[in-house]
Amino acid sequence: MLTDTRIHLTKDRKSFVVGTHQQASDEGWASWPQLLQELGSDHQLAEYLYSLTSFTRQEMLQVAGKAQEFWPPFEQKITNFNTILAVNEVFEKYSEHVLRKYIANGYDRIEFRALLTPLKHYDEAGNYLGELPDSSFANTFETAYERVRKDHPGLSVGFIFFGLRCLSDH
Amino acid sequence: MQEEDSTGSIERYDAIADRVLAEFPEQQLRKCYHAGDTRDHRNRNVELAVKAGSVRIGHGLNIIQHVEILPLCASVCFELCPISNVITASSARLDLRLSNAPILLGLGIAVSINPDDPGKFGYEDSTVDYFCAAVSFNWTLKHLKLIAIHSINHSICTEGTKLRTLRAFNERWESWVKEL
Repeated sequence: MLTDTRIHLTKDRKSFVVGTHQQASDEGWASWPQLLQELGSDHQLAEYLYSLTSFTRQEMLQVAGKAQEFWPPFEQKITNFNTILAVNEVFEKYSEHVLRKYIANGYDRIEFRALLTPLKHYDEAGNYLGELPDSSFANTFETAYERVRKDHPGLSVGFIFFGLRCLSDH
Repeated sequence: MQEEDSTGSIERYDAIADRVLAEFPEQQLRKCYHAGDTRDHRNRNVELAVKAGSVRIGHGLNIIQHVEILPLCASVCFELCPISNVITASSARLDLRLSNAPILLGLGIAVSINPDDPGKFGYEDSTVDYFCAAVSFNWTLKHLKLIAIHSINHSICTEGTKLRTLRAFNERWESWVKEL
């Protein structure tokens, strides 16, 4: 992700956003080099980015086991994660990364619960070109899956889609 | 995966699922609902999920509060997520040892171990969940093997893939047990 110059952090540094350098400059978004300068080290940058999508130890100590306090930050982290995961190329890289990680841990059948959502298409500069067709999720995943299957033909994958609650009667 | 009480009953969404399944029978789609991850005794989602024919139920642990439904659960697998249960505190008691999962397994109902949201919680895959279940429920290798077999038998793949996976699992299990 850190090699993708289309991804930035918003002005308040609390969410990911995808766009061009010009948009970043106009809106006060931060690029990776800028964030690195602000945070001081690769380690701190990694820790900060991690905290946007995952609970840190400190956060866990505060909210774990407390149903009322847990869900708001959880939803925020999910939303942050989905912003970047919805980018077609990021989703493809992430899918391959996850599959290879599970294989390395000894898995040969993986079933994901996944959000039923179309992916987004940006050009190399970060201009938003629109939503890809609904089938993009499956097609992009399959590209990564087939690449991994060349090395691990025994692997099989299934999806349990959620998000039915978001569907209208149409 | 999400806060169940805030999103209400699954009843009206099940009607949508029924329409989709009826429209695409060749896809052999199955229902795998997320339900019963709640402390609200008025929440009947787990009962609705079982009656709707959900082949797997995400969490579903408060099924134990609906004992009259248990006879209908012979072919349902309940996806236990030990770490998530403790962190979200949405259904299980904070002390995992008091979870309903061992009761379900003891009653002969299929249970699998799942990680729910490992990325958000700061770990990978389901190894830590298996460990916590084994320690908390005093499960032996026998229990763990049964859980693994349940997870394969209730996977959403073809019967051929299930057989291949079961064969591969048995070979690896035997080999691993010999090394212990």
